[in-house]
Amino acid sequence: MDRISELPKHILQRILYFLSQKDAVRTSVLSKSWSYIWCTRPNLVSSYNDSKENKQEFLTTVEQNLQRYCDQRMCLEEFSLLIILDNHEYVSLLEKWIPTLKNMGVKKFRLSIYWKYSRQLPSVVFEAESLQDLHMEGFTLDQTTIGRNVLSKHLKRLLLVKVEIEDGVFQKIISSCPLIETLSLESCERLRNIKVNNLLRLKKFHFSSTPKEECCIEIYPASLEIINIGHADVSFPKGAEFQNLKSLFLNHVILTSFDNFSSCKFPSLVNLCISHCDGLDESTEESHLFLDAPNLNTFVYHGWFNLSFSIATTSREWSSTLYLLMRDDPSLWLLKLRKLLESLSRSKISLTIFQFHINAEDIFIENRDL
Amino acid sequence: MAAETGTPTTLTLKSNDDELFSVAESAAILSVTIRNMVEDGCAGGVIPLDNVDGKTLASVITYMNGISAIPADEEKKKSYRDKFLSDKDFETLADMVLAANYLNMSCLMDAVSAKIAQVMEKKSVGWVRRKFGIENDYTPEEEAAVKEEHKWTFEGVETDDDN
Repeated sequence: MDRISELPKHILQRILYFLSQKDAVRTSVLSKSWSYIWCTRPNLVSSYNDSKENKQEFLTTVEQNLQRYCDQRMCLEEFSLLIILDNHEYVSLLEKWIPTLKNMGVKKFRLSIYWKYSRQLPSVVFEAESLQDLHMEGFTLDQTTIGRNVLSKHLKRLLLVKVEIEDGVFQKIISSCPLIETLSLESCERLRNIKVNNLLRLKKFHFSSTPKEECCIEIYPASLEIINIGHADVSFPKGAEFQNLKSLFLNHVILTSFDNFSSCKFPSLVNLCISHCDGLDESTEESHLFLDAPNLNTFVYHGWFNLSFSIATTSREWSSTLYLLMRDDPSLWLLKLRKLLESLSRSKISLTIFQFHINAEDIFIENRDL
Repeated sequence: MAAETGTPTTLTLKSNDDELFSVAESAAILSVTIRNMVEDGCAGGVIPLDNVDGKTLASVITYMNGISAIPADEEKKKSYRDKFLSDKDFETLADMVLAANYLNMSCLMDAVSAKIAQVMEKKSVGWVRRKFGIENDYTPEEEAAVKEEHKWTFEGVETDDDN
């Protein structure tokens, strides 16, 4: 026999563990000795998108597979399930399966579920200690969902899309799951106040909402690498050092304190994009935003430019891309622009000005290596 | 042991083709098999490793030294592993995964398994058979039946002539 087929079965199972379900199942065609290795690998990945069968059959297969691992006492380390649920009966299958996973000693449980309407998530989900990855769309997450304790302390990735969840419930979840590394909240419109200060391992934070909702976000884990926020009020703690932050994207964000932001340090920041953050200087007459980012590589600003700002960096090669919208009083505005260009003068600048009121035509100036 | 004297203890490992290797105990105990021997006090003289040849053992020791020199930073360790395995051919990988299995080094076993899996990723059945020299012992009817059963796994995969 060939070298790979001769490897011990548990090593072949381990190799297949690292393949997608599709690639793993396809190995059954290689030769007779490969025909069943895939269905004994230590992970069971069931994704409804991948299959053409109907949902009832899909769920029956998942159930049979689980039962097979259970009956044959095979090692199951990971269980991943991705499905659109549209039937209350299907949702209740989770209530049956999750305790089974616990009994089988599954260490990593990934769940990706979609539900079109608001329906309470079965409480059993947050009782799963092995839950590592939860991606949820639709559903309602209220006090009864997490009525008892949140036991999923190993949760690393939490993605909520269009989930009806209120502040108290959200805070309870994140204070119970200190290992979260990725947190993404999209269109969860009941959230008003988010504090993510206690997630010490948080690396990626994504938030987006709609213009009509107002949510205040307090942010400061030093572990953060990517922050991407759209449509929210954001407060940065005074004098904080974001040691690991590489990318900061603020879109339609209102900074609650300019001074606080200006006092923060961003030693690792490479990408900065500030887009349409224009409501930010309403409070003070002359707002100045200062950014301490010695390693900045790409700076993009898009907006009305009704503030002045400067960037301190020791980067040798970096670029600034400015899309400025101009209105009223051009003389003052141009003075401000001059100051800005001076502070960016060591970067490759690409400047686009959109002028309103005075001239309907847009003026385009490109200015390199000023 | 090492803690008492304050100097790093060195172990001597012997491959199945009688090559001797010196390695710091702190690096060698990445192998649970070796760690158990050390803990049982059987590591005084030469530790014979009957299932590993000299060439593979040399490579495993390079890995042990390299990975144990990296402080607890999972990303740096991962990039070290990727680099360490990047130029290894399949024969070497097969030797390494068997050695990792025998020495009970789960981190190396996982890394090598993942590397082998990476080679198979998204590849057609024919390609994988050729690459690894796997002989197709299905009759054409049997093969057609297995393919039919898992038809969905062939969607979007490169096709080739012999399959």
